[in-house]
Amino acid sequence: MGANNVAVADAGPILHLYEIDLIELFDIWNQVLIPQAVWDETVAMQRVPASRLTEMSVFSLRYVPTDALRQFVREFQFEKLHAGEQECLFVCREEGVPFLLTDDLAVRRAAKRLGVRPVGSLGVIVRGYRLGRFSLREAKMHLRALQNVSSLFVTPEIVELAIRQLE
Amino acid sequence: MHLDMMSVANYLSSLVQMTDQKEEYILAQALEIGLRQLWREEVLARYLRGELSREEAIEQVGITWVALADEQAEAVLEDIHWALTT
Repeated sequence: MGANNVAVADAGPILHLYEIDLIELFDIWNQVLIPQAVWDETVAMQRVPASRLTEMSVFSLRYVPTDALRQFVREFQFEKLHAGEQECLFVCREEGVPFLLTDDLAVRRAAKRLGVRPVGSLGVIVRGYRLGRFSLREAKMHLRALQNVSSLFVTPEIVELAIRQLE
Repeated sequence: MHLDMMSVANYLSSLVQMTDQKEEYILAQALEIGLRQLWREEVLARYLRGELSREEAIEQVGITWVALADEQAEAVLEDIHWALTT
């Protein structure tokens, strides 16, 4: 994927992949940008230990200026989104980042409006499988763990739908 | 303690304390809510497998859940297509 292999991460995939012990999978990207508000929702709220992110060189923190964010939110009418989600979209737009990692359907829609490809936790796992990070059996196990173990809200049938696509 | 880390027994005793309701009442509520959720998941599963029409699914669990299932399924298929083909 080369130089454009950069993503911005919303809180969802960080939390959900951490909860199933797959935080290392973020290194399928060359760089993953974490806006300050997402850091606050995950690390500062003690839902993910800071060391799990700082020990991986792929992660990079981004500070978003308040005034510029406010203007951006108004321009695109993103007022209903949470602060972390707004900052993710802002960073994508400002830095021309092609991927936004999010498990939120409203944020997926917003990302598409900006021409950014949204990818959810489930997509990250399937990508890891495609890149040879684990076997089909392990991929299925991880996908089911997303539903059974992580706090991601996803119905069992959606997971099985994904598994059927892999088989 | 984080809620996710709690055992079923801990959930029960905590809910009794937090709500000031009797254990039997909370267990009855849990059974009802759990059964409703299992029913909904089964209906949506049958819908996503093509065993139920959209109209039938909406009739049984409501448009909100069916629309959510549609959007989730679309998102997952998009992600998988990207993950496997690019």
